[in-house]
Amino acid sequence: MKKLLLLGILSTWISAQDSSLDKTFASMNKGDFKNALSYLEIVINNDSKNPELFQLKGMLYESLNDENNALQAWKECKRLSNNNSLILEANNHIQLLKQLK
Amino acid sequence: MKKLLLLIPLFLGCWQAPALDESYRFVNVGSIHLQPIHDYKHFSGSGEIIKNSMTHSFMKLGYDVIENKNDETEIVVGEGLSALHFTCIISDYTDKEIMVIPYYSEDRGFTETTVSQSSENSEESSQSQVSTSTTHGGNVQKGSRLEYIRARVGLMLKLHEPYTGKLVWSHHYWYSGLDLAQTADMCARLALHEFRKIF
Repeated sequence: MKKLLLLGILSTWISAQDSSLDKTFASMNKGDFKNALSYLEIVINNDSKNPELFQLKGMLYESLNDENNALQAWKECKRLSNNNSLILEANNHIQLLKQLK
Repeated sequence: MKKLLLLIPLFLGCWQAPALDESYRFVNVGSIHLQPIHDYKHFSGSGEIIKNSMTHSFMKLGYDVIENKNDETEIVVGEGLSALHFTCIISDYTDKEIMVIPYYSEDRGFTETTVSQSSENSEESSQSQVSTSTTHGGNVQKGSRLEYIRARVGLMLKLHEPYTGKLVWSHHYWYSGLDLAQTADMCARLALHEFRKIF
């Protein structure tokens, strides 16, 4: 009985993460980048070493013209990534955002 | 060997820098002539969008921009007498790049504590309490993935002398974003960031 309960809690927790992903995607489709960011934060909290999530976060902040937070996100993306293409992309964004500041 | 390893990150950090003829005297340049920019394949109007973004950004930075009747654009960058031709090729222009983010959900484990309590109604009214803790280890598992569509704009830029054809500066880069118009604008701005270093 206890195991069933724990399994239930765990599956609810995982589906909550999936739900956050879905909501991030749905908000982005609607052009509601502010809401997408709040859902993305939940996803990042559980996968904080994923550079691609910070890449998306950087682009969302750029779309909201929030250069400071975008810069932080791209720096984090660059720090976490070991993919040359992604590092190059992050460098371009960091360079331009520093210029805009 | 250690020195070589130390140099690798430096190389990775600079590998997107423009190519530059260091012997060329950019102080002698008075103007650059922006050549017509051709549309990216199947994207009518993209050349004009990039061109307008560039001239707009040049103006915002305080350069004089002159557009004549022959569809030529002149940008005044200094007081020198020589002029350079500026060509731009759009190497990428899409608002339909599919991005996939693999998402890993982390089960961080949990601690389960069972408390057993009993009380006896005796003269001393004694109470006993037993506590048991069990720690369940977590694990990392692939949970889901997020797919989204983004815009990507790439530019190949060249500056060369019109009479000799000598190439004096060249750059190739791309920029990404969620909105195509904004990405194109940012991409054009990035070009100017590099221009300011030589003029």
